[in-house]
Amino acid sequence: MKKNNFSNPELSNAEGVAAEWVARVECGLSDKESVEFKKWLSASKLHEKAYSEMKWNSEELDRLAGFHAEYDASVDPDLLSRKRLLPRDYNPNMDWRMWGSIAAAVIISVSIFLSWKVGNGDTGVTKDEAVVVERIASLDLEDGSVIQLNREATVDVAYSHKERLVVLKKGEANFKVAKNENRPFVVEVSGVRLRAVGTEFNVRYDERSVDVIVSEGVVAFASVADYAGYESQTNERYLEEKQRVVIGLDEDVSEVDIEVVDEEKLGEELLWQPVLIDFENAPLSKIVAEFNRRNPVNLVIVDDSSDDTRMTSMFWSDNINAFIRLLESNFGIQAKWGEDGTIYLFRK
Amino acid sequence: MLGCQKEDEIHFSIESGNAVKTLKVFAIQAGVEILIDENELEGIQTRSIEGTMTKIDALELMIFETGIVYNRDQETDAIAVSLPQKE
Repeated sequence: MKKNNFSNPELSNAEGVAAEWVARVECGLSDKESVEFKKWLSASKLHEKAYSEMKWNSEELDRLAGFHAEYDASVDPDLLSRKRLLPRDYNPNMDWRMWGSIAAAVIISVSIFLSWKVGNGDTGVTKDEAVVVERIASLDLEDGSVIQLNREATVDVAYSHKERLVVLKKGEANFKVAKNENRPFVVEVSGVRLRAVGTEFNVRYDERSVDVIVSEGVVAFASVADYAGYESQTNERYLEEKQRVVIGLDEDVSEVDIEVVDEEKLGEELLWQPVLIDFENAPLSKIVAEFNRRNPVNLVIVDDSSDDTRMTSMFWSDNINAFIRLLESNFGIQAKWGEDGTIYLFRK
Repeated sequence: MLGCQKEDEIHFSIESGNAVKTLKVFAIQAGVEILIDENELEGIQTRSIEGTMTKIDALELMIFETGIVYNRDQETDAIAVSLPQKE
């Protein structure tokens, strides 16, 4: 290991170095130390992982300070004292090596303690409290239309005998509209009015814009302010199949550009929609990559041996939590949630 | 009434064969998600099934006396099939 300020030869591996960095960062780094830290962090992905894990474990110590141990692990209660580990009135001239070694030793001990707890179905961060990736919701409406709601999206449905009105209040939704020329299907979102007869289109609404892509059929769009009533559809413009319009929230709807979207781009924009992940004799990494591609989640296979697992899968792409549960029950793989939401997979 | 199906019973028609293939056929016919351990199950033969029954009955008949085990996810009904995990 290259020469550095860490004196304890027993802590020369990535975890040991990471633990000492955790202690140093907690009490503040000088400019020079910051540069040194960033250099070490970027030198290897192992360093990043080790640091993330040690940081998480360190923060668990705060929680454990009030925890009455029910297990046989013998931890000196004084070591759990925050003041001793991470003194806030710290003397900047104090020797880092001493504090770093103490912190590293405790953090590694607690890592082992917590790992044991994880193995026995109990952890500082339970799986239910950790990242829970919600499934995509699907609403089947009374007319046969279907709305798929991306995560955290909300809609109000207000059907009447004259029209089928849906208000997209937040997020992203995909609409598959059952054909009924006598009763137009209307989506209102942030002052924009979209009208469809029998079609499929996607609408994404965020703090900047309303983004509409048509997969099939035709969608008419206009400003809600220009809408003159059921009998009069004035100032409407038309989006055809594989066309897209992005309307800025302060933009004049009548002047926005319509763009053509190719098949590949269309697929990318609609990746969030659930599909069956259907592989035969595939390594775990391939299946994991597909889950990562289609979801706001980062599954990481930590050890090479986990990728020796080959499986046939037929699994909905948004059913991540069940996928992980079954990996644990039948494939000898354990999942651990990182503080940043990353889910690490490794052999038990 | 004669001929009435129970709500959760499905008609299955699956030939005996390599577990990796037949269990996927089972999943398609049952309408369930499945994960199959290729490393462990390749070469194991499952039994044929024919008739109307529940998904779990169908699965258990197929894997009877093969050593294959399964777990069903309680929330989503997804199924994983493998050999028993080594301790």
